[in-house]
Amino acid sequence: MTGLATAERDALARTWGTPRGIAGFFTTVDHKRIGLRFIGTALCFLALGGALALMMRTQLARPDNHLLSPQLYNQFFTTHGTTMMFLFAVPVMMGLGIYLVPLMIGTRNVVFPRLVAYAYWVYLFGGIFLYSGLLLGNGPPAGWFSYTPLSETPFDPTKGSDIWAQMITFTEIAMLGVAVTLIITILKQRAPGMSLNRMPLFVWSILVTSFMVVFAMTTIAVASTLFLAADRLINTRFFVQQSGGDPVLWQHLFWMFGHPEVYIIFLPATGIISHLVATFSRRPVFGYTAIVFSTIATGIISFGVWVHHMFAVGMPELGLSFFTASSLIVTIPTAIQLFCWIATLWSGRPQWRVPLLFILGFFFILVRGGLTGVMLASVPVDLQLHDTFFVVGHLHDVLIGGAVFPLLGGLIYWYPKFSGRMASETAGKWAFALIFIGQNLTFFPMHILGLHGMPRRTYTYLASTGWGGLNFLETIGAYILAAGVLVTVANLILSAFYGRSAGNDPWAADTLEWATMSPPPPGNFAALPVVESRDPLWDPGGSEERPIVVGLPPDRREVLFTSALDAIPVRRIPLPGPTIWTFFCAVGTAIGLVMLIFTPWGLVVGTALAIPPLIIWAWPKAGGSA
Amino acid sequence: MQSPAAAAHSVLTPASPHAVAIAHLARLFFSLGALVWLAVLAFLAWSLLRSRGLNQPTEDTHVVRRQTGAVGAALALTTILLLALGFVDYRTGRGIEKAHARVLSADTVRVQLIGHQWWWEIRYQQATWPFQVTTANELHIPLGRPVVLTLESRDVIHSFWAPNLHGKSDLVPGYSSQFLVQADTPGVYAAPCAEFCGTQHAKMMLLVVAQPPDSFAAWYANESRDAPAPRSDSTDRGRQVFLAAACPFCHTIRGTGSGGTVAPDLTHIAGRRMLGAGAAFNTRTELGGWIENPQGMKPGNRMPANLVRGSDLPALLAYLATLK
Repeated sequence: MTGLATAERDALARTWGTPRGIAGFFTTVDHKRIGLRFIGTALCFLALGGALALMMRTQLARPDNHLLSPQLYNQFFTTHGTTMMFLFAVPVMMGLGIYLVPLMIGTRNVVFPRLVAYAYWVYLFGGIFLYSGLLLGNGPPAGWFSYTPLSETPFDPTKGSDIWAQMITFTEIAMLGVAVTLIITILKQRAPGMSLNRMPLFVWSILVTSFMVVFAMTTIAVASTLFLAADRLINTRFFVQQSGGDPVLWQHLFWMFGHPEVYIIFLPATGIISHLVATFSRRPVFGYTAIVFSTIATGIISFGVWVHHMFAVGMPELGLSFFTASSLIVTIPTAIQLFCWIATLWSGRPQWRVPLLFILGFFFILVRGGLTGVMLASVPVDLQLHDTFFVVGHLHDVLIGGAVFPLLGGLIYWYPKFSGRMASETAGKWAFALIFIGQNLTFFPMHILGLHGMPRRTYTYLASTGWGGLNFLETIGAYILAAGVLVTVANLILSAFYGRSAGNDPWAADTLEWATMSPPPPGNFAALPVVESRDPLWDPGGSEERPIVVGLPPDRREVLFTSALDAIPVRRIPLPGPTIWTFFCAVGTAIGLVMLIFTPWGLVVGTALAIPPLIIWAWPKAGGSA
Repeated sequence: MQSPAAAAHSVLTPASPHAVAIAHLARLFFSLGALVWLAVLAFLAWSLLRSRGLNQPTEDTHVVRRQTGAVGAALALTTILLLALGFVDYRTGRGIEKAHARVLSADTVRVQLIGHQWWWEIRYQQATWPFQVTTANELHIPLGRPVVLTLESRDVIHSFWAPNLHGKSDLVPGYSSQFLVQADTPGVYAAPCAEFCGTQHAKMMLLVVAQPPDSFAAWYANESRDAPAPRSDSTDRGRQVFLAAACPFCHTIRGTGSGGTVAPDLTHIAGRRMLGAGAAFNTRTELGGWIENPQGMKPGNRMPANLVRGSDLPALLAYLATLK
């Protein structure tokens, strides 16, 4: 290594670095630190949501149990669902996107790093807000779906539903900020040569997901923030039937968001799987184009299936048939992806490492969940199974099998990049075994209970129903599942200290994030890469022969903008550095939103507190960096 | 009295033509789904475990051709299967809908079913006086005759669901929808509320009692009558307790002058199998416990504390026990 290169590396580290200590904690705009924060915080919320689930399972372990009061049980299942959807699943996937996308596309940071920093604080405050309500005995009681009129003031005079609706606002702001940043980063900052048809599949899945977030979160913003919150705060009566509103309107708006939401969680997981399948079968994924088109098709079709959550409301048969058809069709792109992954594994040489085990678990559970989903697409069958434990089993198959298994596999897979060390293989295998057994033991019997008439969202049941045995089994399963998650968390924490040193590319993988150090330096790459294929690290010739970008000054925060389709270099773009004002702006936003559940003046106060920091944060600096 | 424990609540033991059709469809979907699941897992296992040649080229056109063929075939099979399932599903749905349209005749029993937090109000509609017979939480229907339920709600959304008889239909406030049920096998069928409706959603169960036409007629004739007058001093005292306490503000016992309508009609409460919409079996002990501490076995329900204490309670219970 020449002295000049070392000097340049030092300059890069100084330019892109974060201040040390507490100042750095509040001011950082490094996508890697923010991405890991999102992931870490989301895992904390997973633990909290899981703890609530364990208490509910304990309550249901035997009939006529008195561990939880009905009020508490209802608050717990509402908070559990809300946590898992809004505070765990979406943020953890978007956080992984924030961490990985710049590394995978070969750039130094996301395009709006301050917006992402702000989004993180808003997300964190929203989560704390929800749990403060719960701890003060005022959790939301109306379900994670908050159907009107149950969530309207006459039936919930507490602040619970206000907290729920406003927590959605926090998450919307955060996720919209992240989604917009990721879309523009992906479209404009790819390494020269990384045309859209060479883009890694995880980046594709994040791109489609981010567009879905923009559309779906806007729907829930209108429904929850505008209509429901306004109904409760200033008595607008959008959903109050006696005043000409309509309670069913809420269901349409909620599920127009709610079903795409499921795919917002699932699509990034498919991106993860494509990478893991390629790396651990040592072959490029078969059917790259088919998988990309399947991802896009899923994203679009998922906006046309929402009524299958509402078959029992009562609608004309022909209208329902349309949604049966779309719900059947949406399985086809997922089937294509599954077949392509199996074809890849068939052609390759499977490496039996922990991430691959999680992929196999994914197949076992997700395919089952997908097929029970096909059952629920049928109107007559759904009218029997809707709102029973069958659906609880189905949705946990799809979300745990379809998203959590790939996520855990992905976290083990990218762990060396995050930390510079390998996660323990033995602990990983134990965790996999526990989670796999626990998931099946908890959620498979639920299908049987549903067929035998056990409705969802019930805090207890009579002994004469005969549901006690299977419920007891499920509770045991839930504790095994929780033990597996604990082993995973311990593995992730302890391996950071005791793990084997990883090196740049411990799995001999193919994408750009493995071309740089583990963990990557502040500016990600010593020299920005140029890409000539879909699997740049599997190109013949070693790392010395890879082409690089020259001409970006190491002493300025500048990245290369390239054209959206072909990634042809267009111009240099300055990126902003660390600032404390994003944090203050988030604090102002949070104060305003919390006040808003008590008085409309919250809007005034929030604006007054959040806008000045926003102006300071966005004020152009001499030299053009904003 | 038939044991309430016998209340049936399974999709898999249908007792009506609709539920039979749906159970067939569900079995078909389930069996095909299980086959597909096993096939996918078998292919996956084979792909992982098959023996491989030592020096397999990385980008062999032969390999790619085989992959394309296999994925294409699997995709074609998936599409055909989905089309077939969609077709069968549509036929079943149409069949049920047509059956609904056909049976609306003079023979039909008409019932208005109203959801409340957390109990069921039942009003039988008839063309002659008294035009309407009101009861609660226990719906009796004659075997083999179509029953048209008019579903309404007075507060939040509830859902009617007797798994042995048919699928679900929501009770949406401000809407009135019709739903057809029929039972061909005698029995007591559970119909738990199937849309989350607040604190006591878990204890909002309707019992559907399907009985032969003559015993239904007898039950209905009795249900149409006012409450029997007290025949002893103690039951007369119980009646006085009922009328003097806060009970009549919410409850009705026809023939006593009480007229509350926000809580279940008690005119023939002694004939019902369960208390508190499925919260407990209707025994003297449970009923006494319910009156003494209304928030005990069903916390959160709308019945307030009352002042029926001491010797008033046995008298009241004795009176209520006569309301067959």
